[in-house]
Amino acid sequence: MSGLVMISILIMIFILEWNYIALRWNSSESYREILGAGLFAADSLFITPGDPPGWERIPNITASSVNSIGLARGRNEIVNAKLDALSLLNQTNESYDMVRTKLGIQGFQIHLLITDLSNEHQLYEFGRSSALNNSVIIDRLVLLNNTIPARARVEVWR
Amino acid sequence: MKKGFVITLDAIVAISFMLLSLYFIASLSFNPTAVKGAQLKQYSLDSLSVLEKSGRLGLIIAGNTTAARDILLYSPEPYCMQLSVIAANGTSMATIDKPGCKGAQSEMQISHSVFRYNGILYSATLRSWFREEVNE
Repeated sequence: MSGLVMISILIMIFILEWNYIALRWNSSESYREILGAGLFAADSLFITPGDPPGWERIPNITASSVNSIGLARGRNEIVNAKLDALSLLNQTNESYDMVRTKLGIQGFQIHLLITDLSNEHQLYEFGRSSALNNSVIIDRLVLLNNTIPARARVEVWR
Repeated sequence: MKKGFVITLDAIVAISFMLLSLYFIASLSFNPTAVKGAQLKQYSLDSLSVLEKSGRLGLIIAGNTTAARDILLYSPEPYCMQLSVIAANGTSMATIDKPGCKGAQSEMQISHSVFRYNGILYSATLRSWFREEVNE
């Protein structure tokens, strides 16, 4: 009788542990997906100029006029005109969605925040911040105006 | 009775072994250190790039380490960094540590950059690792 009780308890623990592993696998898989999207978006933004490289000079930017969005002249060298153009694309949901698509993260939401090095003053912002604690944050270091180091924080969430 | 006891004991041992195996698999299934290491590597490359392109590496050669020190100081809190600059002939020009960081840990990223200042080649090495968590 006591053996039966013991086996029952062990089987219950087994079922609970199985559920725990399934949940953990799902959440780690989800985390990896969001992180991958975030790293990809951050590299696109801070390492590439975008395609075409002068996309920020296009008067009315549409999905057909731009192939990819990037903010850099060279690695980490951010072009202010590109940041200004990106800020303008933050005004409507359509242009925000277009930027997500051009960054290759259409399945995710993005929030970009550029602050000074000490993180006290906000310099640029793009996108939608997550109100919940379900996002992945990627910190990068960039250079504004060829001289000013700034902190760039990319927040990606689903 | 004796046979039943042996079978029960055998089942308990088997299920316990299975539970231990599952626990082991669960602990292996997700290793956040590996993905965080990738983020640290990117930040280190960014830092070296910014240090070079903003002229801060050149300032180190000129004797001013404050500007470069700020880059390390304001890096994300979990990151520790040490920047060392040597001349082409092997002479050490400066070694700058991020304040509050103890010696390098095993999970270390190393990034190199070669730059020219006043016609002379120098090499900058940035070592970065995660801050050791203090358990009080």
